[in-house]
Amino acid sequence: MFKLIRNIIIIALISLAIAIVIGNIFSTFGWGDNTFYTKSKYFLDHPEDFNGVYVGGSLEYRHIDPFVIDAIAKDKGIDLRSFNLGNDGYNLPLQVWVTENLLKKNQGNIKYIFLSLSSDPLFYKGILHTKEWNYWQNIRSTIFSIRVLYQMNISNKLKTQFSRFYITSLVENMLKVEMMDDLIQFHVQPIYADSIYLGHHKNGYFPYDDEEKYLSLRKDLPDEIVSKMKNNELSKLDYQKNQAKRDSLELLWSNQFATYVPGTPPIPLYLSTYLDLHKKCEEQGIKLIFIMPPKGRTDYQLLSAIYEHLPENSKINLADPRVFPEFFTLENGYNYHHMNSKGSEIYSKKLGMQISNLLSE
Amino acid sequence: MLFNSIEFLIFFPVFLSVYFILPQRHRWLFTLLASLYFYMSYDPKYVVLLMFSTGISWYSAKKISESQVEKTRKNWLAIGLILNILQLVIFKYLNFFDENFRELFELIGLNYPVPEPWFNNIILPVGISFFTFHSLAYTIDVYKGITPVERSFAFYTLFVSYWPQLLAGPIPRANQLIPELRKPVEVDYERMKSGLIRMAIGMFKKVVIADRLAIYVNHVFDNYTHATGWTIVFGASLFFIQVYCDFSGYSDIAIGASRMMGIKLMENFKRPFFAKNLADFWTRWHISLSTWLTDYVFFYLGAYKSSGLKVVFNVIFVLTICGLWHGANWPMVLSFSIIGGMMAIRYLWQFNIVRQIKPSNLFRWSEIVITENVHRFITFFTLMFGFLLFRVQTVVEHLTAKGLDVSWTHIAGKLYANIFKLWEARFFDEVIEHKGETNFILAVLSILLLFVVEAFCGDTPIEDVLVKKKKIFRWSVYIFIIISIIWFGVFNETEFVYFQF
Repeated sequence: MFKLIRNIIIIALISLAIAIVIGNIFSTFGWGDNTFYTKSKYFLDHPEDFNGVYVGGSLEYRHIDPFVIDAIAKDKGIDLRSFNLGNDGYNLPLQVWVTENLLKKNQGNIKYIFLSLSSDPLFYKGILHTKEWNYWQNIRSTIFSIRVLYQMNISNKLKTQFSRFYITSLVENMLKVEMMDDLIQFHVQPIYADSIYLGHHKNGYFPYDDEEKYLSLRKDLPDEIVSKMKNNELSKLDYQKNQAKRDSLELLWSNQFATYVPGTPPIPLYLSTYLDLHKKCEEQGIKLIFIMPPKGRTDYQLLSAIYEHLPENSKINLADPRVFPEFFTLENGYNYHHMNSKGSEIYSKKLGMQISNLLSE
Repeated sequence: MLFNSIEFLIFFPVFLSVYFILPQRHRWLFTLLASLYFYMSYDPKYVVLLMFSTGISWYSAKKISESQVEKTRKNWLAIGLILNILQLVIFKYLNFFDENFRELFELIGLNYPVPEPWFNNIILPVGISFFTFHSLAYTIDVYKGITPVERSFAFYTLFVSYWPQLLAGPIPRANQLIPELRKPVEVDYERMKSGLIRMAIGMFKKVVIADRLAIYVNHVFDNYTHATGWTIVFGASLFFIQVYCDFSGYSDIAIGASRMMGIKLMENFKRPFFAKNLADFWTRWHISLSTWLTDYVFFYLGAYKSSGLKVVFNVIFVLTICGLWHGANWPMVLSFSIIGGMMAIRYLWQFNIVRQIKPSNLFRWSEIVITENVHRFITFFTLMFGFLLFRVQTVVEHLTAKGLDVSWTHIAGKLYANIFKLWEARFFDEVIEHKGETNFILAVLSILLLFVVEAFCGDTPIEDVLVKKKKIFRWSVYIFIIISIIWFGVFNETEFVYFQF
């Protein structure tokens, strides 16, 4: 029995070592996510065209139009040529991972990074075991996510559950479980480089309603995009019909800001990570600006506590419905958590003004 | 609990450790409890059916053995068989019969006398066809004196519910398995290694080959209206290979797990794609079921001893029963009946009956020219043709789930009409491209690997071939299997195809 167990362990270890080494040799930055890979590749391949980048989730991808913001900045004499690297579903650990990688890959062109304060390490469970979720996980990000989870004010059940999810995803990525065929495909024939994800102006901005119109004209869409489109359409219809839910969400966000007690202690690791990023950016001569966006699937009191402690000239808050009611109207909305292109244009203008003000200081 | 699940990955090592830690005399009871837990992990309530089947067959067999009066023995045999079959009919076939009678009455313009049936919402209990057949065989064997009666109800329950083979076979015989379950077992390195390799090979077949092929099979059949000619041939061939890898993968894991416990299960597959004819195929495919049907149905009908046409009837009848066992739906029944029909034609040919009707030297000439491999090729495609219908029911269920009401006859008609357009291969490019070319190449390579390994090993199980090789080769194979499962396995925990039976 001992011999059997010993041999099983040796064979398993050799197999795992081979799987880890070969898997990691072939992994390229962003390879597992079509949208992110296309966007990041375009951004990194065109250093002469861009000196600023927005990092975040769908609240950035779908709302921030660099074209509008760059124009406002230009009017104020600021040379801002920005790119929207936001991506659907990118939460705190992913945003930190993206920012750190951008700092590593900076070819000297990046002068400004705009980082969203939008979400925490919790995520939609449906993306578990997908290459899009697994491909970026590493030991550092997993430890970070678990530490943040344990500092958050959530139930122990959620803490344990999400820690398990992160560890499982890490193991899956390290061993490339069920991912190698995609990795080979990525290297042999990159079907990923679809420029639709870059948006009309090739600056990474693509609001939902534009995407809906644009993609509906195409007949050769992969299944994953078709199913995503159907889900978006359903959420849009529900949003338009369900006024009670719209109102209750707006009320929730308003209350979160109204009842926030200044001086609330922030989650230490969350804050220290942001401050650390800020410091690293400064060392490279990059200005890091934090943005608190509206309509997030998040706890704004948690974010406000962090926001309060961020450097004064490096933060923008556009999330409070009492201050910016226009982001929350039906006319400007696409679904419960996103604006349509009209709302996004208004948002981009407001953001552009605030960015210009900060950059001219 | 699926063999390809995380739960099983935890269950099996824990079970095996406790099994060997326990004293010999307690192991059977522990295995029984583990088997009941294993079954109940799907749906606890259906354990009642398992216990009913077990109780009926055990009691009737006991009564048969206790009586010396032939009539009493026959009566108890009938009671045992009828109650077990009745349970199977209620839970598996009642809806099918009701549906068909309803349609028949409608067709001849009569009012169907049965109101909306209560059994409409019955969900097929997993493994019912398997454990019912265990029980039936045991009762018949006790009646015939082939196997001694088992006095302990609990031990008999272990025989019926023994977890490795409970849900998808192999279907064991009491005179083989009960002595195995009683046999004292010690930890043996070679045996355990061999069992583990067998399990790994089974897992490879399931997650690397079968579940990958399923991606293409599903795409072809879900879009059956677009596919023509070679695309359908391709889809149906892949489906045939998928079912083989899925089912034999399950059997391999069951046999391997059982071997590690020191309990030998019968082989269920023997390179079916190397069969030279249809009759040969059934000696290689789901052997435990085909021998069951041969022993308890075909021989009862008279097997080959009757006249030519009676034999034809016997063959088609047994294959139809086989189809009915596989599924309570017409596509399944007909697919096996068609294969039965083809076997009957071959039988007539083989015994010169066709030649007597239409003498022709062409047949003799063809037998000389057509080599063994061409026979294999023809057998494969003949079966593929029948298996096409096997898959139609899944298409019906898929469309029904989408809210579409399409009859199986329409789907089958479309597929069979289009399959002969061999100059066409509409939709083939989409099938290949929809998951990327790498995926497709991997699928093709996995099939090639399967055929090469089976050709190389012959009828000897791969683990027996491997042990004779040098250590470096063996270990390379083990590492290759593990890495392939990790990298190229499809882990969406899809059920084994044969669970639906």
